[in-house]
Amino acid sequence: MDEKQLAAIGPEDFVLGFQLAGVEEARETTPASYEEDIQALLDHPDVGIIIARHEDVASLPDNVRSEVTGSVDPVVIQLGGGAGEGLREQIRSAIGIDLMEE
Amino acid sequence: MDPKDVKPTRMKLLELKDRIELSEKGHNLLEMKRDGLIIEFFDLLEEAKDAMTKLEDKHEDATRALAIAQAVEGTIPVRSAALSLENSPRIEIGTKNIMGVVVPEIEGESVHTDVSERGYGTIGTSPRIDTAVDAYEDLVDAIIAAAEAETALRKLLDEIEKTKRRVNALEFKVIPELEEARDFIEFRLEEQEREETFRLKKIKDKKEEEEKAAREEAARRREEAES
Repeated sequence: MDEKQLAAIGPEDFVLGFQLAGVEEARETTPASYEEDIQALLDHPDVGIIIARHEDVASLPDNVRSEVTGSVDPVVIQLGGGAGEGLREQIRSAIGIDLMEE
Repeated sequence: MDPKDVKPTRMKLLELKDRIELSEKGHNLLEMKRDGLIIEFFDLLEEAKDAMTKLEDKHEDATRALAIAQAVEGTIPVRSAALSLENSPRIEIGTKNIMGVVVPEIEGESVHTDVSERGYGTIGTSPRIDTAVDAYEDLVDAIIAAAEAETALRKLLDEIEKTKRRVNALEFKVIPELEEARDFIEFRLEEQEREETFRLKKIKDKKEEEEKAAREEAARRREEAES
């Protein structure tokens, strides 16, 4: 097990909250540079969890998105509208039924 | 594979039978793997669901608290509080293997700190900023708790999908095509065998006719010689 830090990536308002919780690696980014910035965080040897907005990850090209969602070290956690919906859809497609129903 | 493209030989038939046997073994193994992965998935599901529900709630609370702090105090005091923080959350991360699927293993201590340990003076900030910091610390705790279960769940689902596709390809494409080619060769070989039997029978009949004609000719010659 390696000791690592958390990182947050997204617009100014999104990362500011995580800076309040002490997250040092907080990258304020724009849609134009998002792909490059998240790639840099994925390659960062000291980052264990990347916190990102679901809508930003969803806007990435397919190959980068699958690298982001499939990454194990660092793990990418998506927040915001639709984050749970993606997993719900994945369960529906793999298992055949909606198991996320309350 | 079009069965008409296959050479109808005994060697090819044996080769096809071996491939069918191997494909059926592979199909059974993959079905067992898929079932095992689904069991592991169900073990994780409740934990992941709880963690994700908490995460969504904490995210909403934190976003609201930050919006209130920014609306009342302005962005600069909030940014200033963020820049003066001293404690940075750290986690221990490794990987583990669930039925060949590499998933993360994450351990982290609570990042929740006391107001006096945060690095900014209590005079310079407001209770609203403290509330926002509290909410975001709770959110980071929830993220650390959910990261392992959610990622493991996603990785297991990916592997279930892949295994399902392989099982279906073997069951509905590879094995039926191999069986069709095997049946075609068996049919052609039986047909060849029937043709061969018929040909031999014809040769035998012809030979018997020739022998009969020869015997009759010999008898006729004997009769002519005697007379």
